[in-house]
Amino acid sequence: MELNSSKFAPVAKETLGTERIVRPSVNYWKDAWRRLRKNRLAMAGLTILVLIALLAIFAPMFSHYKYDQQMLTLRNHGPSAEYWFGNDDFGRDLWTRVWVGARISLMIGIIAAIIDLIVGVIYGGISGYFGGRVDDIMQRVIEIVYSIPYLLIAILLIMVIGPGVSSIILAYAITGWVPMARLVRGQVLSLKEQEYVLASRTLGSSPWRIIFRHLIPNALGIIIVQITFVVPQAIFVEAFLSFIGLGVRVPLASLGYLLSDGATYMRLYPHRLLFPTAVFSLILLSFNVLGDGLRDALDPKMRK
Amino acid sequence: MLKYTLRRFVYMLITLWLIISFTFVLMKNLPGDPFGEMSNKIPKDVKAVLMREYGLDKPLWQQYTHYIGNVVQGDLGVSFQFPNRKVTSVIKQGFPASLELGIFSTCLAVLIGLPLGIFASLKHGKWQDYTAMFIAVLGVSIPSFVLGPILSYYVGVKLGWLPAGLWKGPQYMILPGFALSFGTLAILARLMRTSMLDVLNQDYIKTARAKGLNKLSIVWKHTIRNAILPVITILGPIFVNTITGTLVVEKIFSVPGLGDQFVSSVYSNDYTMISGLTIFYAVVLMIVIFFTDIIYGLVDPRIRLGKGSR
Amino acid sequence: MSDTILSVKDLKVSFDTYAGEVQAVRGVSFDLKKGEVLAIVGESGCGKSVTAQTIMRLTPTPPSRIKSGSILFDGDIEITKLSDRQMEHIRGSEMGMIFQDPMTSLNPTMTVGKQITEGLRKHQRITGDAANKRALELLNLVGISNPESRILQYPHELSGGMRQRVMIAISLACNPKLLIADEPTTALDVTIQAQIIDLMKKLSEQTQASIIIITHDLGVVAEMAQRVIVMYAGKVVEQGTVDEVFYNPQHPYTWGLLRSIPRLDEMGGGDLVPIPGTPPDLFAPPKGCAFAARCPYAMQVCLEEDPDHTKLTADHSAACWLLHPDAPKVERPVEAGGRKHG
Ligand SMILES: Nc1ncnc2c1ncn2[C@@H]1O[C@H](COP(=O)(O)OP(=O)(O)OP(=O)(O)O)[C@@H](O)[C@H]1O
Ligand SMILES: [Mg+2]
Repeated sequence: MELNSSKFAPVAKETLGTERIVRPSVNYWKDAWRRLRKNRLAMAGLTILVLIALLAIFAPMFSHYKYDQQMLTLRNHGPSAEYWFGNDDFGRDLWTRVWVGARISLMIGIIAAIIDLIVGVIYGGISGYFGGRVDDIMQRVIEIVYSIPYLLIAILLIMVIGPGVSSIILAYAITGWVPMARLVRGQVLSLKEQEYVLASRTLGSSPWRIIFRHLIPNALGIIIVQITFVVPQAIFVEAFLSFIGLGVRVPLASLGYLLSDGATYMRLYPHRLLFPTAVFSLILLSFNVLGDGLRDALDPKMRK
Repeated sequence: MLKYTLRRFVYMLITLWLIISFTFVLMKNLPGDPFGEMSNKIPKDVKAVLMREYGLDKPLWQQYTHYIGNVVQGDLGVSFQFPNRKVTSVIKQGFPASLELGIFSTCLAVLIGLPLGIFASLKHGKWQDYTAMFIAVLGVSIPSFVLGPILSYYVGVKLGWLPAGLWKGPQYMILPGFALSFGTLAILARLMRTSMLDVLNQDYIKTARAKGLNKLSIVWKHTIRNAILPVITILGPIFVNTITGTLVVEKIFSVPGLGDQFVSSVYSNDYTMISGLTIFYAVVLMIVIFFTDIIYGLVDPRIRLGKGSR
Repeated sequence: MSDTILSVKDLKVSFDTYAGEVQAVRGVSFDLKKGEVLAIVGESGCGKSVTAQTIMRLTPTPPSRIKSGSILFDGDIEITKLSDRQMEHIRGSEMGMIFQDPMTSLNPTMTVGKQITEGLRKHQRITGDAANKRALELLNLVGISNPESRILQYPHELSGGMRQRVMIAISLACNPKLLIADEPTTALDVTIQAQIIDLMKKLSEQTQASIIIITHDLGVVAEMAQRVIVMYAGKVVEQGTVDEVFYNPQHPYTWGLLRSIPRLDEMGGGDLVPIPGTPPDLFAPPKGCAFAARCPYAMQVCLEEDPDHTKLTADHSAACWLLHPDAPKVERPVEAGGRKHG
């Protein structure tokens, strides 16, 4: 190598850029999104969900038939060019009914998610933030609520207040929020010891401010992941209750109702089971793979 | 350990008490009056006698203590629709089939789910892992009431390989058992895999490797034993899943079990039957959860020896 | 050469991660003599642990990968070329390792005794009774009282210091020729730290094992080690005997390091001066000297070319352009040497 003396001249500090941050600090959410996009399965799930949601919103609107429109000459006809999913025992258009059902299922899922967000996040946040006795008592309550087999309670409840979408949601609300509360509590417990929170606390910020400004935004990753598991869970509960006859009232049809109906007539008219099953399973499957993908993408442990 | 056991026991009692109270409150708030549609046809004095007979003329709190007393003595009341059928005799008739089905399917789930999860974790990031986890995600996404009819129709009716329904011998268990276990199996596989990966990342696994142990004994003695602990904690909830699953699976496969009975009661609005069965289910589940908690305590020395208990 | 137990030559180790290749170790060479205690010092993330674990082939592959170099152990064993099976026979019997955090390094569901005897039974194929006897011996050796009852206890029943003693017992079980201790005291209380160091010192004198100790504590280095290597960004920037490196440091990074770390053995030896800036990104290490960006004496050449090691004495060498004959002479900050040389 050729070395001349000029190479041994000291270099000015500025050109070195000592202060430049060496590893680019990538934005957390951007980073997560980048990781999620690489996960093909999760992206497929997301795409399918968007498609299903669009169909659930628009397919019944643009359909030529109403979901409860009976066409008795077409009883139990298989799929055709006019009736893509065939007809049911009153000749109603299954295509329209399936998407109306999907609409109801998704709506129940979304409302459950909102309940979870409100009750679970606040409960967990308070329990984790205050700690000590408050936390102790709140944890005992959770342990007890959690050990109640809630499908049974849901059944009892619905027997009394009568079946319907609102009963299903109320039944879900009794215990559905517990896992979320647990997660948020755990997260808050570990976050609240961190310096910026301590600093904020010494500066006299109110607990609410700290919980909502500092703790919950930082737990957002976990909350989002949990939501993607709550929605299919609620959809499942609805279908289960419908299946045992405690779901929405006729002529309205949720996916669970269509499934139960389809199962009854399966041997004679398999198409009546096939289509609701396919849509229902696709919804659950998509949520689950999306949730898995999100968990991997948002996992703070993988954060560099 | 004793303290731990006691605490679990108290929780169990509180939960049971809540459920029984809940059923009582519901009974009192049923739509219409206890005599249903026939109410108007029954003469006033007959009604009064009946009310006295059922203790409905007493103050509410007495009815409540009476109700609890009955339940504690194992008297769960009689059917609302068929007053000569006692809830307990219905249980005696239907529970054995449900229990068999439940145990069979839980065994199936454990015997397939755990190895699947272990296998996936050891092949972490490889195609075997992805395949196993795809099967598991299918299991989580396809509930028993979807899988059941499909199995019953295609395997049972179309292919005719196995009985599509009814309950007359061991081979009748296979399809409903599998339909019931698929979801549980998937949950177990996923949890076991996560737990394994977690443990494999622990420092003590590095210690074990630094000792020069071979792969097999590291996996067997150090990893699985620790990884299985969190899985034991969910055996209780898993069993709850299975029991609630029997409700629909028994209906689909026409298994003459308690679940089938429960669903029929729902269809016929047999309120007393439903609350009696609910209490029974609750008791069974509580006992199972209690014992899984105890087993967990026994397996984990940190709890067994009373230190660092959570 | 026969008194060399370990000879590492131009070792390069990388991790293949999501975001790209992390070059954790970028050409490390050193020798370790029999019975010698060698210390490795350097800032967090400079590749000390990766180097140590690569010697025992403990870094998981993938994501890690030995890119090049050789690790010659006990004369003629080429560690980098061994099969996994062959490596298992060496680990635990010929080499032992102690980790940083005793709270997490022991299996929580296995008794202490079992964890000690496990390696013995595998490598020496002895009976359970003999292994138990040896375990008691080892617990005595590492200074645990009542070994008979301890042996049946689980890790959570022991204090941190005791757990670390158990770790040491485990690593010594088969009388290894090489013992690697990766920050064995970092996770412990100060008083316990001193006890563990005393114990290790005693053991290094009693056993014939050669020891590599990784530490942030220059007091530990001074007390235990004969030689020290200073690592920066995956490379050795200076090595030599402890005296040479402490009292006649040649690399500006060593100067900075000596000024920035408290030393137990020298109270009030000048104020602590942290090294400004952060270590470079090991995803894309700079072309020239990795320390140039933080070096107050950086020259044009430092940015363009990575310096080779300049030999100063038989043991002492440093990789810095300042040692080139054409380089300007710079005055070493006085405190860097702790005391003035001579
Ligand atoms: N499993 C891994 N995957 C990716 N990068 C890794 C992995 N393990 C270590 N590294 C990288 O290798 C580099 C060296 O790490 P190493 O643990 O050897 O540092 P160290 O000198 O021991 O630091 P400390 O003093 O904190 O223990 C770090 O930059 C780290 O990011
Ligand atoms: Mg380290």
